[in-house]
Amino acid sequence: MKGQAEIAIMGMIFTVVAIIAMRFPLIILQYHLAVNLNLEYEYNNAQLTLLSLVSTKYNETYSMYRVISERNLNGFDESMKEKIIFNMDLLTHAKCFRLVDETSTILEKGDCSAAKHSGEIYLFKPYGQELVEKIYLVYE
Amino acid sequence: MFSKQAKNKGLTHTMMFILKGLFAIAIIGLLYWLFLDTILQMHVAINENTNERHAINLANVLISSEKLAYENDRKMMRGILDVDKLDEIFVRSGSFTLIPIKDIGIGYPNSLTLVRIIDLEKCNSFDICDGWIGYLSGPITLQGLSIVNFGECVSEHARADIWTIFKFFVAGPVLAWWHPLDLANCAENNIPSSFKLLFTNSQITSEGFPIVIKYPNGDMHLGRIYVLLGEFS
Repeated sequence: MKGQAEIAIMGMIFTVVAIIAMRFPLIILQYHLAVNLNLEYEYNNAQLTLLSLVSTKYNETYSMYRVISERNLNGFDESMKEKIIFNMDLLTHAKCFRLVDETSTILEKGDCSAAKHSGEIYLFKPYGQELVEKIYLVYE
Repeated sequence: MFSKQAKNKGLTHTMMFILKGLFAIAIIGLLYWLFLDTILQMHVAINENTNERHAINLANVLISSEKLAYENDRKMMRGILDVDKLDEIFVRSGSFTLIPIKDIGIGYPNSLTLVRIIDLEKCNSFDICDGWIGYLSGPITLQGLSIVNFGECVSEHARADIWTIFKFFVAGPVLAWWHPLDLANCAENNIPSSFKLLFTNSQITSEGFPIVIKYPNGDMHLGRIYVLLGEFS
């Protein structure tokens, strides 16, 4: 009887290990594929969000591109920020997001601190000390 | 007496042996089924992943293509779609027109793509936005398969009469326009039995990519493009 119980326990352990060993590679593969695909989608989404943002108009005279790239020259008031936040809300569907340059935050929305899904875009700055500025979008 | 006991003991041993054998066969069968199922699921996962990557790539090509993108001084504006070009290829969503299948030269071989573009700044109070919808077909390389012919057959058999509106609300849009027998005939005549269609529900399908829609009067609206790619083999 004791011998039979040992065989039964060994059989159960063997079966469970065999099932896990067979399913484990599948789970790893699915995780790997899902993570990479999600990264690819989010990267594209963030890039296109920034591209769409700078392509739109701020008003009849100015484009969003000029508002952002010439903000140090022409000023960057609350109404400009609100318009950008409104557009970014539509584009990202995110709880919170930040628009940052190399050294500082240009604007941010939401109580939470966005840390994921980053995209970047280069803006030509005709009146700055540096001709090109890199802008990052961080959202989640 | 001893002979009967020995006989019972032998019977018990035989029964135990048979039960152990059946149990072992069941375990081996289960493991074999799990092995096959795992391999099948790996194939499906890889195919789905490829399909979703294709959908992302296709969306990127579409928004950069001269067929859809706005041109300014011969410069292609990536991500800005021209309304005039959209009207040529797609139908406005909400219009009671049949959605045509078009080949604009963009698409993976043996594929059918459902493209939906919505204008996020033209939405009603129910969050239903204006937009465009259309099917794009890629080059067909399979012998005997014509998804375009299937589309044409389905278009030909669409019926509109006084009962269409009633049937639309009772039985849904498909049964409102088509008789089930007509649909079955179209499928039988144009789609071979080896037809396998892979539609996946991915982020590009459900969430889309952001775009800008350029109207002829100069207005620029924010929008999204959704791409649902069906690949068959």
